[in-house]
Amino acid sequence: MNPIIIFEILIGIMALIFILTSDISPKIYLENSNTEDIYASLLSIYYYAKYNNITTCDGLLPPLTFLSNSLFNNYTLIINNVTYVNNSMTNNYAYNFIYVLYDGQNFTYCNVTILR
Amino acid sequence: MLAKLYEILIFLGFSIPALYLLITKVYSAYNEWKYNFDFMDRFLDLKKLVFFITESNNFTYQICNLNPTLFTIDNTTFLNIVSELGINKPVSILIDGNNYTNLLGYYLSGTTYIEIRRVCFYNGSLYLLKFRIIS
Repeated sequence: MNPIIIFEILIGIMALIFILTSDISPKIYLENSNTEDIYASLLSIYYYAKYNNITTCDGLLPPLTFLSNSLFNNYTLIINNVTYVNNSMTNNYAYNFIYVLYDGQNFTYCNVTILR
Repeated sequence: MLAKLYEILIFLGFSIPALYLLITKVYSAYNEWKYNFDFMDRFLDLKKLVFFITESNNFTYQICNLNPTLFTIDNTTFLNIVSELGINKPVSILIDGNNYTNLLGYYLSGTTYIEIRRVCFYNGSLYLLKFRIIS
């Protein structure tokens, strides 16, 4: 066979492989786009605790449950290493927030983690 | 002459499918890019509204600490705010919590929409704000 034809066939095969395997479309990743909304929501619980004079970590459970139920379908809620709600099969993201509560005499640190 | 015809046939046999695949590839890439662009456009419009409602001095004392303004505005005022922000797509806010529910903007249920949720504090209670824009 003519070497030029073989060369053309090879070039054609290479072009086909290039066209079929190349990905020329731009990709936009938005997996973490709502992180700031979650942290803004977690911040609102700080105002809630201040207004309602919540001074213990247990007192944070109702507002945190309301927040988690409102924002997530499945989640795990952990306060000070104690798991309160666990209905999440997969935990891909972790949101951590530390609340410092003050009862007039002592500070209480509540380490809140939400996994989803 | 026969060899040349043979060469031309092989060339066309490869080049026409290759050209077809290239065109379909570019077309699908363009469609994907357009979808992503439209999505980002709407998403950023919605983010603009979220920031304006939950983080600006007009409606909040601090981030997600609402002042009474949001609870006093009516639908017309809200739509004026939306148009002043430069958002020309149908949007809505559903404020829900503490036995209070109010919908501002266009009702978007049943259609495809992008939704951002925030829980914000107002007057001793937590309210769920659902921001939606048509997709």
